[in-house]
Amino acid sequence: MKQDCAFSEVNCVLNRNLPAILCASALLLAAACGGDDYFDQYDAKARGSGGSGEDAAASAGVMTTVDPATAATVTGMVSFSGEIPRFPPINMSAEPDCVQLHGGRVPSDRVLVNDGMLQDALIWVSKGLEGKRFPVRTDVVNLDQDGCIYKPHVVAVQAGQALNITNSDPTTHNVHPLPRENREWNKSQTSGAAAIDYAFPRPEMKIAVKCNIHPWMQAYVHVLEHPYFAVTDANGAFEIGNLPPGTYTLQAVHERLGEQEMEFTVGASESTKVSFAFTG
Amino acid sequence: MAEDKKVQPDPITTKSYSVHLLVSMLLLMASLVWAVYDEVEVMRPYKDYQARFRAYYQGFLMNLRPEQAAKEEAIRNSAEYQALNAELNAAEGVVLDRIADLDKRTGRGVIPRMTAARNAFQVLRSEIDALRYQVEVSGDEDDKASIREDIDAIRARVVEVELPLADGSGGTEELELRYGQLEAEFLGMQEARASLQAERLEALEEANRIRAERDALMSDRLVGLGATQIDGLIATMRDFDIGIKQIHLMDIDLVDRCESCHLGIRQPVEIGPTDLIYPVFQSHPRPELLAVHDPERFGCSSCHNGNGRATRNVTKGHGRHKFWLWPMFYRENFEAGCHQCHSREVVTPGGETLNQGRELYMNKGCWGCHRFEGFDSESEELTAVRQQIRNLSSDRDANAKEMRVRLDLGDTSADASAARMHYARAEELRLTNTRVDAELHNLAVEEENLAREVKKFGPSLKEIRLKDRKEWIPVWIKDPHEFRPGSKMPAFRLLDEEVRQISAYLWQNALNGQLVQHPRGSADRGKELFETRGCMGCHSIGEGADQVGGDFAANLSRVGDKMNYDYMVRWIHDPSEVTPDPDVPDALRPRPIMPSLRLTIGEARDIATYLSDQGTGEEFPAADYMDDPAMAAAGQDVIRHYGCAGCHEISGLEEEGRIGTDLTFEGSKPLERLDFALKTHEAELDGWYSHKGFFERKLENPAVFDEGKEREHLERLRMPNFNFNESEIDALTTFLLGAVESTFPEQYRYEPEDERADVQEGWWILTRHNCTGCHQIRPGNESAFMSIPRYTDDPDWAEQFPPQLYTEGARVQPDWLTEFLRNPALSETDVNRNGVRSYLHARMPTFYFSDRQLSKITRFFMARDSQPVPYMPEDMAPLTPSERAIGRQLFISDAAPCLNCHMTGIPSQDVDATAPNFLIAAERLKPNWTYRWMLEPASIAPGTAMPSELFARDAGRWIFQGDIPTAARNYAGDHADLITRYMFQMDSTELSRLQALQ
Repeated sequence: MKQDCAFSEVNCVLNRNLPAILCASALLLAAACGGDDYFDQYDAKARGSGGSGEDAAASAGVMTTVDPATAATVTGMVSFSGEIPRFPPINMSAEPDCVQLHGGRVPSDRVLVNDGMLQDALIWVSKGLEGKRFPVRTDVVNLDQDGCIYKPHVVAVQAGQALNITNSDPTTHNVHPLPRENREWNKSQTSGAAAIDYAFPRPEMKIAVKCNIHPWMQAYVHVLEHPYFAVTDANGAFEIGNLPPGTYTLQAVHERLGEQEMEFTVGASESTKVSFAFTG
Repeated sequence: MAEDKKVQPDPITTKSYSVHLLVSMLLLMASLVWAVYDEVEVMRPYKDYQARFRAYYQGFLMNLRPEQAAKEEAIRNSAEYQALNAELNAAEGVVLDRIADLDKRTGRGVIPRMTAARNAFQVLRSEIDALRYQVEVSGDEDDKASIREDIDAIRARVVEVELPLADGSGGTEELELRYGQLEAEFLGMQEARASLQAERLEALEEANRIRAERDALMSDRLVGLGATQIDGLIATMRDFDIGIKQIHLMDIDLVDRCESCHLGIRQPVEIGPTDLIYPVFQSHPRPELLAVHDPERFGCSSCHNGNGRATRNVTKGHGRHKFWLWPMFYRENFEAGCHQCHSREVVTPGGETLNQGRELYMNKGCWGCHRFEGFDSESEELTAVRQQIRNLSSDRDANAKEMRVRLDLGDTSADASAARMHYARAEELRLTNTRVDAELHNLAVEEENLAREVKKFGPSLKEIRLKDRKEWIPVWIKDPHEFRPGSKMPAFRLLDEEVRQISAYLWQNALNGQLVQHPRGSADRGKELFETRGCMGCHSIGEGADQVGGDFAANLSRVGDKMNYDYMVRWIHDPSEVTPDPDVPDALRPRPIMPSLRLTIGEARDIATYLSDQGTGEEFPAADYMDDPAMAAAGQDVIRHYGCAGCHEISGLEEEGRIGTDLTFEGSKPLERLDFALKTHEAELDGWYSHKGFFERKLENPAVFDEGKEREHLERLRMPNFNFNESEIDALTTFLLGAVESTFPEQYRYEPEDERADVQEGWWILTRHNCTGCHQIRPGNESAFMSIPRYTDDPDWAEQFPPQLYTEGARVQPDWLTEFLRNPALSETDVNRNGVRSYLHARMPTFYFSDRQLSKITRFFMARDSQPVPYMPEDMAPLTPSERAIGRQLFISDAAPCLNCHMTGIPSQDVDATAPNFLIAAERLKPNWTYRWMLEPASIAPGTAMPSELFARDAGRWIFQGDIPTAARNYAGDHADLITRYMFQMDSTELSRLQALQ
């Protein structure tokens, strides 16, 4: 066979290296067929990371309807003990029209305590409703400018629920909410002008509302993502109804006195009582 | 032997090679197949991309269509659309008969008649034209005459034509017409057609207007494409051709085939990263950038880098392999691509990371050691101006000398004409020197301006004897971040001996002087002032999570541990007050970057008292060596070696230059010239052997490329450690990657010569002086005030933010602005106040701007709002007496609560004021802006206390809403305009009348 090589070197080389050459070409071909594997790589990665779409669906929440037959209620009181923070009485002298509406001294509306009960505290379900969505409340909440004071001082609405702002005064006000998450706006409202109907689209606590013309005027709007909230009345009482049975955390919020939390459980058609006590 | 003689068999004839041949043939066949396959498929992976894109995109569009169609339907069903539609139908109905009549007359009358007339006319005309040609080519006069007669005969010929009637009734008439009459008939019909068409348009004008309004309503309301447009896209996809998609720019020899795979980049529908499953198909995430950088003109790789021609695979296309010099920028650095054309800017709109990088370069003092064109340009300009002054002065001397010679020559010349020539030359030289004198004067002014502008980055160390505690100095130099985390002073890797030597030199060479002794003030008042006067626009206080305030200047949490109280009082009271320096006149001492807040000495004491209480009370080890002259002598070389004088004023080292490398084109420096030292191999293995890898690692740990090296201490890398965080490293890396010598021709670069250059220049001054610490100048830019709890949490402080300057140029008059910037108190005597908004606790400080800077800032604001400079006041109609009376009544009416908030200059009124003084409106504001401001304040200053909707539209004019006096209600003019004019024509007499009425 050696002689063969003398005659035909090419063949000889071919013969000897045939397996190697074949392998090489096969490899080349394989590499070439592999080509651009962007799509394969991406698919593999996507499979590895799992479905992120489900998380997105969960965060959007599931629309929940409450069966009136089993709906529960939570009621309660918010008390206040200790020294009541003092605020100077309101000086309206810059606006004679306003002064006339009050028979003398106008007490501050910043912290209102009657017989040890705290008015204008927001009570809302802060935990226990995660992953649920509820229809937007249809009742209209009113915020009136009356005697150059916002009445009530604190209102709460659900995101998307209409807030009806009226001017009962003989003077022009401007309504200027100072939100951080929602859109800011500032509109003048003359005496007797049509009500401003506005629905805050995004949940946000403690939106201050000001009248720049009468800088002593201040109100707070709480915008919540669900309908389970109330603001305490002059007796410090609140009631939240139509609640699905379950265990929840209730939070009491006062813009100057801070926050408190309380857990409670309520069964089908039950009513439970939760009380908060703020101290000065 | 016979056997030996036996002829050896011929291997060619006796041995079969068919196997070999077969194998060879198969191999050849295989390689041919492979070659074809490779060429058609493997080398063209984009085919797969395109096939997939076509399929997914069609599916995506099909899904989108019903959604968009439903939106369209909803708009179509809206009351407004329906109303417009009804209006349109009505408008069309009214003219329906007229249009039908016009169409009939045009289509069945005028046009057929015109055609018939034209046909007959053209037959005759072509005959005439043919004969005319014969006249022209004929050489014989007789022939010509005879042909002309023929022409006349044709003109006179009577032709019988049957013309349709012009009224469109369908009837015809037989006429006998000559050539001229036919022509007239034809032209007449042409005119008739035009006038009928005009009449048709006119008849449909109203309907067309309503239709346009209706369609505009649809396109305004509809977000995204309409169903018809989507159908169009689907059809395009059906006809989609698979093949290379490329952009070829001849002038810069750029070929970008990026869109062969990134097929969704420019689709009119927004495609999210997973809308077509694979992110490669998503739309360009910043369409607003594409809108101003049309890919057909700029390509892709010009901004993004990468290998635009490569289509073989992702790695090659993106150029992320070692054979491609300029790999595609990674996501965190992609704005680097902006800088090569936007290199004149320190703020490029839309390039937030890049801007942050430039700001860091400026505000971390990188330019103290590393020159970068544009940064600290003042000192270079100053050098240039001084050189120019020297040149001109020597020219001047030479001229003077020659002049003297010429005069002598003239005096002594025998020849009168030669004398005249010498005298003339002398005269010319004298005039030249007069001009040179004027030029020298201007240069001297500029030199003075520039000398004022040149500022070193760090504080002057000439003052430290009076300013700082002696023992604190070595502690600080050893590791500034230990004493003050986040400090801009970086940590040098100094030996203890070097620290001692530097401290001794600085201490012994600092100025000696006397400080006025001050009693302590009130720390409580000082805290209140510190938090509200504006100090926190630049300075922060509190450490870690408690840190509040701006990060432009030092964190003052421990300032009491280091600084002398008396010096602090002087510094806060008047930062420009310096300790006299026997070597440098005060006028030439650089002005501090810290401005004056025009505080009283009492206020300065209060703040200083509060600040000197800030600290831990730590005692530092004694440092007697700082008085040792031998130590100081050694210190000078150490200071020089580490380049301290790049950032600080140091006695005896005033003329020291920068010690670092020029970084202007660092991004295009050849990679092998970046010294990876012993890390080269590791970098190659780990895939960071790139500019990005070098910059990131160097910024994170400036000593990283010393690792493993055998070097003397003084041979080691000198760059100190800044403790940059990750986002700062990304921003600086982005900036450095973008710092390339642009290969693009001038027309690609953003180097405007018009007022846009004023905007570019202005940002340098604004950034250097931290104007954005207090003001919002660009939408989205948050001031330091917006992070101070008092301002964000307490609604009573909502009006206390320094004003937004989004439209400052449109708002104020340029001359006024210049004067205000020069003296924000707007008074020479009553300076402890704000000139415009005295109700603000925060104070607009007095900066030490040069005239040149004042002019640049003013031009910046004017140019940004496209305001002409100089300002030509608008003509304003004077108020008639009745208008003045109405204006006055309106001003105090409930409907216009102006005086509830705005200052008037009357102290009793101004106590409760929360808005600017409108008595200075006439000199400060522009009437047109004032008018728009009253109508829509929220679109000029979002969040403003000025309410919107004070006015309502009534009978084509704006009138105040609500209860207004009858005279005003009956006034035919525009109330906003009237109030503007009233304000601009307000004087003290009018003001007192107003007060009396109130």
